[in-house]
Amino acid sequence: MKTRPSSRHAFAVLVATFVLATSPTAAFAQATDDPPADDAAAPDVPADPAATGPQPAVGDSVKQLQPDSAPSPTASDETPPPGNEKGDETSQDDETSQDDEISQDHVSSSATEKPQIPDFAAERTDESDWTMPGKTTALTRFSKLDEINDKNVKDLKLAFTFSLGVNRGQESAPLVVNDTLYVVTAYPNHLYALDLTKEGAPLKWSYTPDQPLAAQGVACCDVVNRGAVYSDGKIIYNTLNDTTVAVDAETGKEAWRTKLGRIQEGMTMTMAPTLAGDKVIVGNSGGEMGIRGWVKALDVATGKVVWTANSTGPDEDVKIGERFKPFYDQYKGKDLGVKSWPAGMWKNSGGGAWGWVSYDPELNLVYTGIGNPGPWNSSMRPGDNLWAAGVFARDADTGEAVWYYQTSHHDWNDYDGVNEYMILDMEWKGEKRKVLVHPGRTGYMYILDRETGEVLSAEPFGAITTSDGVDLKTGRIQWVKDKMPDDTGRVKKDLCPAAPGAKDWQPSAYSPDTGLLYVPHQNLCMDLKETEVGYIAGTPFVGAEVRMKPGPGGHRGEFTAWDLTKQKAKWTLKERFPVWSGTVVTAGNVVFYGTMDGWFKALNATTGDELWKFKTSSGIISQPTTWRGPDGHQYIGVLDGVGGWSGAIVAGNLDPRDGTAALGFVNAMTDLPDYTTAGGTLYAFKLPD
Amino acid sequence: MTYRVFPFVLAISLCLGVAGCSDQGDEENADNSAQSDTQSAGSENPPPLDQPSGGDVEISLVSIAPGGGKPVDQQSAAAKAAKGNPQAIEIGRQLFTSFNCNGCHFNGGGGMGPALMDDKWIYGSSMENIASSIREGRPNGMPSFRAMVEGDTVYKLAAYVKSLSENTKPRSDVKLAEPASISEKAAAKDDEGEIKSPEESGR
Ligand code: HEC
Repeated sequence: MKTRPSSRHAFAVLVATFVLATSPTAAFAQATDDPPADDAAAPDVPADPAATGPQPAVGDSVKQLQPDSAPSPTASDETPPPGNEKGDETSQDDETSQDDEISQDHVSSSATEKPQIPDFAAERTDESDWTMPGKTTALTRFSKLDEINDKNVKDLKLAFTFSLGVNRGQESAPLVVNDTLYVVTAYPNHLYALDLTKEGAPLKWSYTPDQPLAAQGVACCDVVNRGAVYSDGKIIYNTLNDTTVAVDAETGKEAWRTKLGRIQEGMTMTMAPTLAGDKVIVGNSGGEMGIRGWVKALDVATGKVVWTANSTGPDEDVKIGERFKPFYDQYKGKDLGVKSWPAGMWKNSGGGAWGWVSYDPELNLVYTGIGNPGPWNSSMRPGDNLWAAGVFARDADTGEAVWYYQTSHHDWNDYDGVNEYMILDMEWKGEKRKVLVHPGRTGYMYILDRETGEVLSAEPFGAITTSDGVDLKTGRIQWVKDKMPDDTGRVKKDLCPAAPGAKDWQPSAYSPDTGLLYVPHQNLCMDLKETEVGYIAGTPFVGAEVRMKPGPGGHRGEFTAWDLTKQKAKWTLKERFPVWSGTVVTAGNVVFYGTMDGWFKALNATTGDELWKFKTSSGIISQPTTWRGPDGHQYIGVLDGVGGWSGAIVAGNLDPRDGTAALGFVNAMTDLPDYTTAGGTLYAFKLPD
Repeated sequence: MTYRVFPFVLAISLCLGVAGCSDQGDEENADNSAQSDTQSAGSENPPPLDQPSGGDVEISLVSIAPGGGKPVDQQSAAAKAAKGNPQAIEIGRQLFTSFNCNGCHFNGGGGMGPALMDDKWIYGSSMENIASSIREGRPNGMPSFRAMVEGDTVYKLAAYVKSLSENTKPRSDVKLAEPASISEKAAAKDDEGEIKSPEESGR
């Protein structure tokens, strides 16, 4: 079948008729071919980063405390960052206040209890193994292991390394189950099993799924993979060409594989599945390719699709029915997933579910974030564009929608709703509430009631010019009209946060010991110009020219410890580049993250003081994890291998002379190639014997 | 003057890469509702390529050939006519947007597809090489645009693509963008006055 057209319409349909016109109107042609029989649809996220260049840089990370009253220093209105790193470092230095910070910072607030990890997840935090990227389905990334702690972490040493054999962005998380370490790579999505009982953790087996090279061409933002999950003797993960595979954890033999979509439509899969009882929940990517997003539940034992819920379209497809009780009125009504779009546009609407899914077994609800609507050109799709850019709570067994909340109605900045919805229990105005904590791309730290979808709080954690807060009566973000694209077609400048948001996919961690949420994120703004685009299946459906730039202060990354009780930052570390790695925090009062210039760092989880760092070969954008090995000792693992959207300039060798490259991320990363090269290695650390 | 080209096309499923349109390697999948009909349907050959006005051309992908031979390197009249021709380049520029080439290659810097403005060519830098990349696709995800490029169109696109790598400033001239300059209010994350108070939520 090598040369044959792929689908019945492929060459058949015609081809291009060009209309030469002088009209400025955007041409939008709905595809007329039948949708594929499966209900795959698909959205995704933005893109690739890239580019090289010299340039000014902020110094090494600079810690910055955020006293209760003062606006953050990062946020100065005035100007550019010093071309000189030292200057920044010294001027921002706040070491002085550090000692007092805890007491001072917190005494004044009415003493509320720290938010807790709910029992279903808390009881797993002391396990030796790490069996899913988020540690538990609450996605807290907190481990009770404390052999490595704030006193001895300075002695941490490399225990073993392993080359992943792939030089693309490595966003996944090392898993450890029964004395075996499992790691999935970027495309071609190798799965390696390393034997931790043997010296040097040698390879036990490897598995490479069968997939076409062409899949690489339709992945918006580097060919990443965000990890696997262990269940029932199998390692389960998604491959770039829309297939979920289960591999026998012992033998490395494929147990089942289920093909869920087609790359010919621009659909890919990059997210890490979430376990919900005897099912895994998966979602698609392709929001830059005009896919139609979906979430599916697959039976862990057989791989059979149990339910599918689309992100847009008629209620039936979205699984909106009797049980749907959204908190806010704008989500009530029939077929809003059709009506909140211009005619027919919901069919190529994006809304992928390429991010994190959390699961509360007590409520039996899965929380699935939904990605950006497509195309990015928002003028082409007047309306709220439901159900893109928000979150659904769904019954884990049936997929029925229970509530929905939209973080970005009529999204015009690529503010996907896919960042983690972390499950915590906390006291809110004297009442115990079951909540979701969501550090949103919009720049707000949302606290939602996970039973009802009510927004309890949405405080800014990043610089924001695109909106003016979230109205808690209606749940709606208050867009700044002046900044929105209009019919002049002019470039809109200094939109903050930029398209990847104040934070992208890179997952946070929460420590019940400190009450702090550790948020790796970026500080980027952008200039945006809408352009015409027509839908052609299998090609990008974007219609925007973006140029990103550093946010206020000039540093592009931040690592923020957020006090959930007070709803404000306790301290923030500034980094030269976006902090695109995940993070893990432990009962040893240490929190770990990596930087795109290749430093793996340990901080005191309470104060943010840097306690240890290790220089890796390539930049880090993966998810660190921790486990207790067969020798009884605690390890910390991380992958290097720069790439992803932010690192596409290096992973894809993009050209910095075109700032619009990789959906405009290149413009903000032109100097990355001066700091790091592509790579892909697993590192494991432990204390000396 | 700017006149615009709209693809009116668009009801097209593109084939990705020379591997053809079936997602090879996946056929054995059990659970796949959508696949079976696509398989039976697509057996006709793609429509024949309109001959470029220059007639048949043969083009190698590499500059080496064993045994002292020279790789074949022909150029059609259509390629010659389009190369460096400002009108052809301008039309090519518009087609580059209409066909969503810019979605993958942006303005030459690359993204999902490789950079086209640098001086590195995976599949050759000649007009015929570039035309062949566009017409037939390339294995790592360059779609085959054969069904969309009639007549000389492909050479106009090729002329534009080739022009991207000409007259570009040196990479070393690239400076990192200046930080956004925004109001203090927008930058101040902890400025509690700016955010509506939770009391209003009425619970
Ligand atoms: C869906 C994404 C996508 C679209 C749309 C796309 N390309 Fe590509 N293109 C790629 C990828 C990926 C490659 C690299 C293929 C490989 O390495 O095998 C590529 C390669 C190429 C090459 C070869 C570059 C070299 O170094 O030899 C040219 C030329 C090219 N594309 C031009 C175009 C033109 C012109 C269009 C529009 C008609 C277009 N592309 C549309 C993804 C795309």
